[in-house]
Amino acid sequence: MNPTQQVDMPTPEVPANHGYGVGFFSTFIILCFTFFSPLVSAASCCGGGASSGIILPKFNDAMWDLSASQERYDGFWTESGRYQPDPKDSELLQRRLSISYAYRLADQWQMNVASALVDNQNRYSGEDSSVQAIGDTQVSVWYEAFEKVTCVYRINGWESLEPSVYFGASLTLPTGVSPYSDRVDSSFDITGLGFYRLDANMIIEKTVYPFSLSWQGKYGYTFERPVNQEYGLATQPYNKQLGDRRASTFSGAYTWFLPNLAMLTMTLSHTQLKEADAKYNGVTDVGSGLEKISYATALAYSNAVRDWIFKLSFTQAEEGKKIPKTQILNLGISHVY
Amino acid sequence: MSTNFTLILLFTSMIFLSGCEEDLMPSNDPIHHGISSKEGEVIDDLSFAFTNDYSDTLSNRLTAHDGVILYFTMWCPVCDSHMSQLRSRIQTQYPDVDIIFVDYISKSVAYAKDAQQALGYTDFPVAADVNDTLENYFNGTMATTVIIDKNFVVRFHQVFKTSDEIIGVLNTL
Repeated sequence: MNPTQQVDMPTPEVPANHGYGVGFFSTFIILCFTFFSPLVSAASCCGGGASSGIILPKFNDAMWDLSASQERYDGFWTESGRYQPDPKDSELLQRRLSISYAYRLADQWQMNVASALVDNQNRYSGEDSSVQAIGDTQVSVWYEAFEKVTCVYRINGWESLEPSVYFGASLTLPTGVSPYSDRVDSSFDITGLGFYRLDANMIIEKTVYPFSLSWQGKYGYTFERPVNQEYGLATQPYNKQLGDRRASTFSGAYTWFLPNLAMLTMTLSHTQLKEADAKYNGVTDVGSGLEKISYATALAYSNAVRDWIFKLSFTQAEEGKKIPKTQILNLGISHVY
Repeated sequence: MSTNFTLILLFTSMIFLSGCEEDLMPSNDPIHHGISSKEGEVIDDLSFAFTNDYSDTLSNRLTAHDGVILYFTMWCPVCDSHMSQLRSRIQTQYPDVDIIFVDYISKSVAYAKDAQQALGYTDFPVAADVNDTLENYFNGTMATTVIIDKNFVVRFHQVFKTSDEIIGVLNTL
């Protein structure tokens, strides 16, 4: 029996669906901006539950994950942090069907790849639009800085307090439709950030059943790219670079052991995201950065064998600057083997 | 493990073959396809229907100003940031330049007026592009910015990037 529990939100980052997140959603998005999906991890225990893509439990070789999510945009926060509703007769939705696959490279190394199909359904000021395209793709490599399972049922000395620590690197490939793409006519068509980005990740997690606490930190560097068109409009070529991103997520979870030996885990998490100012031809565009604080709650059901996990989560953005207010509902299923 | 590698390869190949080449290998070569900019062109007179129920023409605006800036807004966070810069930096430094926000998204004067008031831009003229005339003429989308000089020459027609870039053009008017 696999003693692990895995709960996460493997949704690859996609920007907001109407340019809110690109450019910062350039934002968007965003794209998306958009942008770092809020993390929802839960009582993973034993090295397999934190987020950022999907992470394999300690003693498994591979895992796939399929999830469907819906992100609803509901106004935005201005530069000063003031909430601003969308114009009348607006309904902005981005639906994503995400697929992820992870496999073990060695005892303490694993990698995963994730991408998504994106469906933008917008009604903005009474105007309808509908766009479907692939989103960005993320490839990650993780190192597990622990050799044995670290989750315990009882604290017996200092050794039992050892947490699971992961170090990871994620590369985002701009496979989605960005504002700089040939295939975009308006800001509603966007499904990707348009930039390569490299994230350094760290996760510290400790489970003493039935409780679990974790922290995840991310630092993202976006590579400068040349731009010669925006929204289908030819432009004088220039180089653009989004600002570095920092994200921090704290989460706490509680696990119930059900009579049939299945597990039900509830997680609450808090995520803070900041993106620094963008640069145009190397010159900083002061004030173009963004901030967002979001909260999430998640439920995960793992069967007795721990090879199937069913997940439901809800994420709500609560504060921000220059970013849309969104709500994300995610339903997922993972299979570990 | 070889089966896993095959799956990963298939997965990534599918992504790369899905028609996203221009984003994976971006270029800074000037492009000649797509919608071209009107920069350098002499344009015809234009009409504006403002949210205060007042209509005007480009020629009339240019008689009283050194130039006109048209900024296409959809009242989004990016737009708000740009409009805020146009107010705080451009309007104060260039009071003789007419800044007009073009609401190309509302399709209704009343909706455009609501959005203008909600975001606090009642101190600026907002043109409601109800019939998409300006949007079609300039291929306007979020943050499209057009600067027109007194001779009806389009001096700038691009997506807003920085207010410094706008100032650079205004200094040549």
